[in-house]
Amino acid sequence: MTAFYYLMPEIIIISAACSILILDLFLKKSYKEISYYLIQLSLIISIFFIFKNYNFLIGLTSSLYSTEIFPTVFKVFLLIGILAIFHYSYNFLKHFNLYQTEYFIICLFGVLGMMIMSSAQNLLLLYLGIELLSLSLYTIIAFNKKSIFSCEAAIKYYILGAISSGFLLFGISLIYGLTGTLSLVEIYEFINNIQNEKLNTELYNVGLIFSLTFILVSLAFKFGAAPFHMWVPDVYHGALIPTTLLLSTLPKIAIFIVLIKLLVEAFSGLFNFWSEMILVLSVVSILIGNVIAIAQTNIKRMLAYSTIANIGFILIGLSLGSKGAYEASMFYTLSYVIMTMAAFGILLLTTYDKKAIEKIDDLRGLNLQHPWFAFLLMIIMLSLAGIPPFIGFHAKLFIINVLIKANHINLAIFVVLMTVIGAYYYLRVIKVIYFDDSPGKFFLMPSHVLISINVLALLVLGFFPHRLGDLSSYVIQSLF
Amino acid sequence: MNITPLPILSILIWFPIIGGSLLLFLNKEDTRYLRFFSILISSLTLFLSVFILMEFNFNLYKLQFVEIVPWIEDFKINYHLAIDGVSLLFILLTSITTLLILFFSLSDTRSQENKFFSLFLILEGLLLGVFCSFDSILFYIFFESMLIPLFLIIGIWGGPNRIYATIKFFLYTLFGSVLMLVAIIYLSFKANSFAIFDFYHLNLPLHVQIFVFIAFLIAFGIKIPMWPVHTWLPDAHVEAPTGGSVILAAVILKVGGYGMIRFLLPIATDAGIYLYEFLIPLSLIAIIYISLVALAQQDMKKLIAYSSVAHMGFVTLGIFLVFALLDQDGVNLDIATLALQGAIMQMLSHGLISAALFICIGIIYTRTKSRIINGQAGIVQVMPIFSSFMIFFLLANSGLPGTSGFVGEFMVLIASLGTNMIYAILASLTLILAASYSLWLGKRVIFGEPSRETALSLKEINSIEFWTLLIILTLVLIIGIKPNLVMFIMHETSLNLVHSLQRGL
Repeated sequence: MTAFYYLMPEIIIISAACSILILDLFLKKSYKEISYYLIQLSLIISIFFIFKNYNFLIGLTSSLYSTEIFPTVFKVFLLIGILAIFHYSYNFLKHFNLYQTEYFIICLFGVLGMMIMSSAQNLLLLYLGIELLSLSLYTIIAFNKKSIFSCEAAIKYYILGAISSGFLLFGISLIYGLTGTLSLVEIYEFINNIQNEKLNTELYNVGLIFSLTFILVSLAFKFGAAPFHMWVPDVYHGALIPTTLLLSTLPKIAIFIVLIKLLVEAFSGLFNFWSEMILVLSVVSILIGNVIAIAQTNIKRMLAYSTIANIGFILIGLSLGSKGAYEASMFYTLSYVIMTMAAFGILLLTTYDKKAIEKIDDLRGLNLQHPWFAFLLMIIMLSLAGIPPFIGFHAKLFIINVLIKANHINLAIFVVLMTVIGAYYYLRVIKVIYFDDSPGKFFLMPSHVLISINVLALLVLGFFPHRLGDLSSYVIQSLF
Repeated sequence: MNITPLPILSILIWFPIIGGSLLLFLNKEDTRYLRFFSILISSLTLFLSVFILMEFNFNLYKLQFVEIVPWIEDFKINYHLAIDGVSLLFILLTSITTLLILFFSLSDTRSQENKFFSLFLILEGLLLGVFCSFDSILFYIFFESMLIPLFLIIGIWGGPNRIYATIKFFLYTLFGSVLMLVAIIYLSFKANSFAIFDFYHLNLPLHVQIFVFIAFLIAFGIKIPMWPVHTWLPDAHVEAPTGGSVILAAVILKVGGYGMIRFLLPIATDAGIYLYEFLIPLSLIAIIYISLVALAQQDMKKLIAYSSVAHMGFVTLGIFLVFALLDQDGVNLDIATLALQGAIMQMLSHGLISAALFICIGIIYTRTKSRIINGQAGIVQVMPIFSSFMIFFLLANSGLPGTSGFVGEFMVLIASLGTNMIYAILASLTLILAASYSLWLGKRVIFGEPSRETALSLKEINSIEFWTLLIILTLVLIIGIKPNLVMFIMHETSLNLVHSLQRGL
C-alpha cells in the first residue's frame, strides 16, 4: 500500500489527465477555461506532494522504478517548467483562438512520459516512457493542422522518430540477448563481472558496444545532436511556438537523465568506448549548430541550431567521465532550459502586426515600443551567447573548466572559438531590436510578471551561480 | 593587509551600476531630473575615488582596501577586490573621464536620453570593477561585460555605419578575451586557485608560458590595440558618438595596457624574455607605420583614432622593454622601472589628451555636421577660444614638453636608449611624425580662410564645452609640469613589480 505514496505524483498526473479529458466534454465552449485551470491545479498538487513527502519519497529503489534524489529533483524541475510553459501557451493559444483543452491533456501525457523516463530502472520501462513522450509530441506538432509547415514537420518527425525508436528497441533486445536482463542495475553488475573475470571480455564487449551504439543513435536523435539533427530546424519552424517551447526545453532534461542513467550507471564499465562516441557527437553538434545558425533568417530555425550547439556543450560534459564533468553538464542542462524557456516565452508573448513572430526582422525596433521586453530579450541573447554576468557564461565556464582539467586544451580552444561565432547570431537579434526601426506595431500578451521573473533569474543566477551549482553537485553526488 | 570595515571598493563599483540602472526608470519626458541625477551619481563616484586616494598609503606596495568573500566555493572563486598604486591611477582616470563625458553630454540632446546616461554610468562601474578585481574570473567578468554597454552606445547613437562597427568591435574583443579565459582556467588548474597573485608564483615550463603569453597577448593586444589587430578601433571611433569615442580612447584601451601589466609581465616573464625580439618590432611598426597612416586620413576622427594606436605603441613598447632589460647581463632595474612607469604615464596622458581631442572634434561636428578635414578651414576666425584649446591639445598630442604627452614618451625613449640604440632611434621618429599629423590637422582645420557656410554655421563654444576643455587642459598641464604627483602614487607598486620579476629569474 505504501508503494502508492511513492508513485503519487505520477498517479495525480495521469488521473487528472484522464478525468479532465472527460470533464471537458461536458463543458460549454465558454467554460473550457475551467479545464485549463484544473490542469494547472493538478500540477501544483503534484509538486506540493513531492515537497511534502520529500524525505519519505526518497528511497524506493526496485529493479523497475526508483524515486531517489536524482529523479525526484528532476521531476520538480519538470513540473515547475511545465507549469510555466502551460501559462505561456495558454495566453498564446487563446490570443489566436486556437485554444483546445486536448492540447494541454496531450502535453500532460508527455509530462507523464518524462516522469517515467526519469524514474525507470528497466530498459523496457524506459522505452515506454520515451514512446509516451514521443507520441504526444507527434500529436501536438501536428496540432495546427491548417498549416502546411506544421503537417510537414509532424510527418517528418513521426517517420524519423519511429525509425529511431526502432533502433532503440533493437539495441535493447540485443542487450537482453547478451545479458539476459533488462534491469539497469543488473546490466551494470554483468558488465563489471565480465571486466573483472576477463572471460571472453573481447567478445562480450563487441556485442555490448554494438547494442549500445544503437541505443545512443536513437537517444542522440531524440536529443537533437548532430549528425542526427536534421529534424530539429524543420520541426521548430513548423510547429506553433508553444509546441516549440515545450519541445526545446523539458524533453532535453528527460533525455539527459536517461543518458546519465544509461551511461554513468549501467554502462559505466564501458566508459572508454562510449566516451569517444559522445565526444564526436558533441564536437559535430557544436560546429554544425553554431555555423549554420549564422545563415538563418527565421528566428525559430536560428534557435533550433542554437539548441543543437547547446546540446553539444551538454554532451561534452557527459563524455569526460568525472564527477565534476557530470555536474557541469547538469548545470548546463538546467541553465539551458531556463534560458530557452525565457527565449521562446518572449517570442510567444510578442506579436507583430497581429501575427506570431517568425523572422528575426519581425523584431525590428522592439526597443522603441516596448523597452522592457527588448531589455529582457537582450539579457536572454547575451546569456545564450555566454557573455558574463549572466548564467549562460557560468554554464560555459564550468564546461571549459572541466575540459581543461581533463587536459583537452585543444578542445577547449575549439569550444571558445565556436562561442565567438555563436555570439554573432545572438548579437544580430540585439542589433535588430535595438538599432533598427520598426514599420509595424507590436502587441504584448499578458503574463509579464512570469516572463520577467524567468528572465531576471538569468541575471540573478549569474550573480549567484553556486545556488544552481550546489543543486547539481548534490544530485550528481547521490548517484555515486 | 589593511582590511577596512566599510567595503568601500564595492560601493565604488556598484554605486554607479545600480544608480545607472535606476535612471532607466525615470520619467523619459522630463530630462532635467535625469541629467541632474546622472551628474550627481558620477560626481559622488569621483568623490569616492578621491577619498580612496586620500586614504591610500603610498609607502606600501601591498594591496589595500582588500575585500575577500568566497563566491563560487566549489571552484575557489572569490569576490576579491583590492587596489594598488597602479589600479588607483586608473580608477581616478575612469571616474574623472566619466564625469567629464556626462557633463559634456549636457551640451547636446539626443533620443532615449535615459538609456544614454545610464549606460555610461554602468560602463563606469564595470570599468572600475576591472581595475579593482584581483580574482581572475571576477576580472574576466568585468572585462567582458563592459563590452555590452559600449556595444549599445555605439549601436544606438552612432553614425551611419554604426552596426558594422559595433559588431566588429564586439566580436573582435570577444575573440581575444575567450582565449584569455582558457589561459586563466589553465593557470587556475595549475595553481589550484583563481587569485591573480597565486598565478605569479607558478613555475611553468617555457613552452607552457609561451602558450599562456600568447593567449593574454591576443586578448590585451586587441584591446589596446596593437598592430596588426587594431582595425576595429578606427571603425568604432568613427561611428561612435562623441561620449563613446572619449570613453573608448580614454579608458577602455587602457584596460588592455593594465591587463598586460597585471597578467603578462608577472605570469609569463620567461616567455616574454624569449619573445621580446619579436614583440618590440610590432610596437615600433605601430609607432611608425600607423603614424604614417594617420597622416593620410581624411576624417578627423579616424586621424585621432590612428594616432591613438600609435601612442599605444609606446605603451606596449615600454612594457616589452622591461622584458628586454631583464634579458641583459647585469640587469639594470632602474631602467626597467622607468620603462614600466613610462608606459603607465603614457596611458594616463593619452587618456586625457585623446579625450580632449575627441571632444574638440565632437564640438566641430555638432556645428558643421562634417568630420572631413578638407571641408573645414579657418575655424579660428569664428571660434578663437575653441581654436586655442584645440591647438593646445594637438601640441600635447605631439609630445610638447610641459604637457603630459611629453613625459611618458620621454621616459620610454630613455628606457629604449638604455636597451638598444636602434629601438631608440626608430621610436624617436614619433616626435617628428606625431607633430606632423597633429599640426597638419590643425593647419588645415583651424587656420586658413573660412568658407561662407562655415562662418555662418559656427558659433563659439558654450560654457559647458569651455569648462570641460579647461579642466582637461589643467590636468594635462599639471601632469606635464609636475609628473611626480602621478609617479608618487604608482612608484612603490611598479618598483615592487619589477623587482619581483627579477627575483623570479
